[in-house]
Amino acid sequence: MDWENRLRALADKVTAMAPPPATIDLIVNNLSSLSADEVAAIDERLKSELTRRRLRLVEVAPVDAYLNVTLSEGTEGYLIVAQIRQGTSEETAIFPVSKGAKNGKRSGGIVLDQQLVWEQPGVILDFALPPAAASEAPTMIVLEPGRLTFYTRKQNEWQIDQAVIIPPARPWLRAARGHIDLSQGLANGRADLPGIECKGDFQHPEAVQCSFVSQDTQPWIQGDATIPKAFDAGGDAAGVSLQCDGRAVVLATGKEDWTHADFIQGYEMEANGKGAAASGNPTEFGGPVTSLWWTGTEGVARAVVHNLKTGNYEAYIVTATCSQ
Amino acid sequence: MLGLVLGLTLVGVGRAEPSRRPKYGGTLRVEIGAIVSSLDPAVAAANQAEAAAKEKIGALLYERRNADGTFAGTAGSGPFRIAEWEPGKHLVLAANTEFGAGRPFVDSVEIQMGRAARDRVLDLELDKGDLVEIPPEEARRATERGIRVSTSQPDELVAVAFVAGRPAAEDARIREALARSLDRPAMVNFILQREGDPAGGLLPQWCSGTAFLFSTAADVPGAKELVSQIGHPPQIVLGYDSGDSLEQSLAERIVVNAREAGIRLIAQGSSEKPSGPASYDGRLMRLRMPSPHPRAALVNTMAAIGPIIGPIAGLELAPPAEGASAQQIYEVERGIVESYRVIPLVWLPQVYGVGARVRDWKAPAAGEGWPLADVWLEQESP
Repeated sequence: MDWENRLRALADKVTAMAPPPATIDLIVNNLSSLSADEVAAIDERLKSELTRRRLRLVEVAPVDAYLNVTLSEGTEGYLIVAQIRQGTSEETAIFPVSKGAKNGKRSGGIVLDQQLVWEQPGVILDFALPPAAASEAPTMIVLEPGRLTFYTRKQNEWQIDQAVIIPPARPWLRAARGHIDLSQGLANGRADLPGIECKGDFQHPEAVQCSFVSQDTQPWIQGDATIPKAFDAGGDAAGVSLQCDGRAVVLATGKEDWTHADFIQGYEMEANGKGAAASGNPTEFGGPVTSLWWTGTEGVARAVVHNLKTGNYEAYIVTATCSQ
Repeated sequence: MLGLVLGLTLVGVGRAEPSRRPKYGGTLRVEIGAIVSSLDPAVAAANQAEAAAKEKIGALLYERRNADGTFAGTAGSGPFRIAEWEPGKHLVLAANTEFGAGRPFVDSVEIQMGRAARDRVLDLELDKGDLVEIPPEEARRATERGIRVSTSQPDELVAVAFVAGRPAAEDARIREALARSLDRPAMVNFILQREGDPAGGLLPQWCSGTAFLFSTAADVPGAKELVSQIGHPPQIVLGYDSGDSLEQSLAERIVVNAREAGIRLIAQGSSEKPSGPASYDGRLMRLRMPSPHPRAALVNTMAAIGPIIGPIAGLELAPPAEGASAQQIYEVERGIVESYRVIPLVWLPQVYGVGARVRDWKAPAAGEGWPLADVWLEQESP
């Protein structure tokens, strides 16, 4: 985990400046969006790394070195900023930590976990992570307004393999929605925009054909058809083929417009399908959730977020589980 | 454990499109203070306000930019094209129905130029405008008047830049003394009416995550100590844009702070551009971030101040390289700040008054244009 590596590096740095058995006065501040629980966990981890190196944490003199650690955050991720003061010398060391997965909040009900898998400056309408055989490199498909892009994961990076150009529909409408459907397998993949259908063998993108179709033949435009008609949380919703205590689970976005930070909330449908109750804590995002669909795996949805801070579009896998 | 039970809404056959889905049509009425005389990117702007407005309008007209940030291609390749143009006064943009990223939601945008701040706010209140620029120092008053105010992250730095070669600017102690004398929180609280942040570094905290390492607190005893070491400190002439009321207020505050520390400083209003021949030792500069990313923002700031402050002794003013780490960016920033050739003062946000029918407007992030292609109107023009 990135935090662990960075905290280890910080502990090494402190050890180099104040070799054991030095006494360290440690203060940890938080200027980031990390929660109190997350900060407490990082604090504990850092203390553990320092004491493992035979440094002694003290709060009263004699102190060999003062270590002021600030958990901060900029546009490019979290930062561990360590100010190490020993005598009259002071050094500032900065350790960046990428914004990866955050822990799901476990306080009963549906537990949601989000995992950022991809981000880009251009619009993402939908994306898919097809299941890969053990011997094959993972692949990702990203649907944009003008193209369908196929990526393969090589050397820990997503690299473009091929792209299928999607002809523009007239008029060229803004905020077009899109949907990737792999329910019939990769060999019978579909990627749709309103009025346009691209289908074919997604294992061979060169064979994918796009054509104009009537929107009447595109039921996905109306949203997830598995959601009971009476359910309306104000935004988009997706059933995820999961049941908690016999109740079907639905994930739904907030209802604010696309200028606001958003969230995904889990709901448990009443057995008669006529009522629903929010369950567990929502998982929050740095911008509006512009697309939300079930991936085809129990409890797992895919979400596209337009991050208002960076301007990038972000692809997330959101996993719902029933708490014990 | 179950939470709040939803009030379910029966929506008849099929699920209704959520109300947050945008609608097409209408004319968005925008009012700005700047006077834009030419939309040609090759024609230089007369002042910073015109340059900023021209940049925003250009981003609506051009689809692409060159590597140096200038607009590429032809006007009208962007989300809008020019429908009417009366230089310096009035511009009407029509939605480009062929725009690759999709046509804008509104049919057209009317931009009135050269409107005074109070007239812009009044027009918004009288429903004669939909989107108006509000000076940051007026934001609080506008909010109190019930105006819907939209504020960006603070992305414009106001700083004092000392002019290389001027005798009063060449003594590092007097520069440091002035930096220590400044009460930046008071500037934010009283002049900016709390709409902004004190600036200690060249990058804001939301961008770099390291701005907290730069002090913004006044240290008048420290400033006095430095002044006493100099003996007879030279008088500093501080230039500012006489057409900018905010710069004038900040300059007057700096005079007061400097005097408390025993520094002789006079403020001199001028319409002279920063690149012109200097009759002052330092001048106020407004530096808008072109990017939310720390390296790009710092490189731009260095490019803007470099010709004024000149080389810094003992510090290589090389901008951080592509891929520079947060530590490397911080070290370059710290080197510049600790030279006291530039004294950061405050961070300003972009503030807009937004009409009731405007939807999906968000204040642009650093380096972004107005997102008018994304804006839609709840109802058509009255």
